[in-house]
Amino acid sequence: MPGTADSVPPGPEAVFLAQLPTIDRILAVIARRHALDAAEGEEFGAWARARLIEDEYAVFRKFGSRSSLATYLTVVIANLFRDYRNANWGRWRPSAVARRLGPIALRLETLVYRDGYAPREAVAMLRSRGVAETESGLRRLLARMPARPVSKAVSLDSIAEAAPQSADSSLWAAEATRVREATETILHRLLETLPSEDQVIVRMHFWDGVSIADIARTLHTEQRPLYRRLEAIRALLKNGLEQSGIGRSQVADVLDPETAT
Amino acid sequence: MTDMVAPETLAALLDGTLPPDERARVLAIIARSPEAYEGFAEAAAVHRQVNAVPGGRRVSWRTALPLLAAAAVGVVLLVPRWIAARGTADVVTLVQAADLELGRGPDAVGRRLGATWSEAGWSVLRGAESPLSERARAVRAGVRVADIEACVTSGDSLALTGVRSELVRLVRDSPLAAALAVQYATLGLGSTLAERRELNGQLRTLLGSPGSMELGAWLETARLAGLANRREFFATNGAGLPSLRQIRRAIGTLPADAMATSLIQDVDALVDGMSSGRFAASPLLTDSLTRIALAHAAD
Repeated sequence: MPGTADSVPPGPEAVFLAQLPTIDRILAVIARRHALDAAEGEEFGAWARARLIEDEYAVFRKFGSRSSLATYLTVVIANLFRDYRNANWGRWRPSAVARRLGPIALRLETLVYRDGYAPREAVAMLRSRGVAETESGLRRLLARMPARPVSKAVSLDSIAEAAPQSADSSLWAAEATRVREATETILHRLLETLPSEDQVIVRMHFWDGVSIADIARTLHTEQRPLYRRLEAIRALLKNGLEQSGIGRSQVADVLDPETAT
Repeated sequence: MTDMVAPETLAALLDGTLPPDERARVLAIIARSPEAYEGFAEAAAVHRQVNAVPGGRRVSWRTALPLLAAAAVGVVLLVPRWIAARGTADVVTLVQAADLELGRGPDAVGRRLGATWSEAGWSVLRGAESPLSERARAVRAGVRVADIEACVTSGDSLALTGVRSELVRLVRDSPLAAALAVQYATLGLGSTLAERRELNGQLRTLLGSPGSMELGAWLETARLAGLANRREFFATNGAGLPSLRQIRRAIGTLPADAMATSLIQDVDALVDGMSSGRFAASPLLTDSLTRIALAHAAD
């Protein structure tokens, strides 16, 4: 019967130890992906390993061999990181745009708006932690995120650098946010008319920037038909957005995130 | 219907092992729930990256083979009862005293000593699953305990991950010391000197060949000091020479057979070289240290 100690020969502790290189590799990938510094990475690693062995290796005892153990551990540890982040970041919630733009954008937003680093400091920190994005690329990423109040006491210089420079630019930013949110509301409505798998594919490709080859590998679908399928979905969404009064530049911002300014 | 997808179900989706109806049900949840999508997208991204990373460290044959050849020609295999004497400096103290100055932060050790700094060579000689004598296991454990100490001292979480995994593999396969494997598995940069001393002491006892572990630790510490060009370790008044002389005295009490004679010659050469300063940071010294460690670890 799955979920008992007997189903995980030769014992969950031995399995844990045997899987340690895999666990460490997963932890390293997560640390790199989220641009954690050495101390944060180590702290998360120690915390996650403790979660994996607590309650007499419950994570391993629950495993029922419906997937490979390595993939199961990948999902478990990715979930643990979310728990860890939520526990340590408290009430801070990243913006929808930052979520959409991926983990580096999340980290950048957190450094600037939660931790109060000046943008140049945040960019330098991420670059020093091995983020491959160029400095200008990171600055463009930050510019695409909505301005938020800085959530902790910081220097006046940091606030001045992070905040809009004038009342005009503040109004402009608010308007841009409003248009973006309206666009996304309509897009969500349009998405709901698609089959579930297409919805997932759209989010992966247009929002998370996952390549078609990687989507095919992740969802175990054929890659070649996926190109035509995505093009058809894109045309459908583009028409729907434009018919709802969304301008071409906003449509491009949503459906061609790499080319949008 | 709940919007949570169980970890194993999500893993099966990523592995492509879900039955079609269940796959459709899971995709519907992921499409409907932003939280479920977030969990899926993160796990999928990590899964892709983990599978894109080459697994495990590789031993360079170009590096290992000459060392193995040297080991086969000139070095004896000897039960090192001579270091089993109480009072030999523990690994933590030895590495701390070596003052390796390897830098700080992730990959500091690799940057200072080269990417292959922790490649021992013995995995070429024997597969990881091959039976290993407790003495050879203890030598290897000593090498890795010294490596861990160097990584912790440098705050190098990246290098720590690799050497810690190797030590855990060695420990978990030991009949008596296996219980310590979990403690080593969870040993992190935040551990204290006292905790590591305590743990290493237990390991030395349980491996059943304490002198061997200390030999491995000493040879590795000295090798790292050589690689890092820390001449002080090899100086007459440095941390290395007194320990080596202690070892030399212990060897002198062994029965005078061919193997003991050969080992004494090796250690005498090291003592002479270090005393005269000839070996400080010399590749020749590093080679000698590696050769001796390999000879014991490969048994």
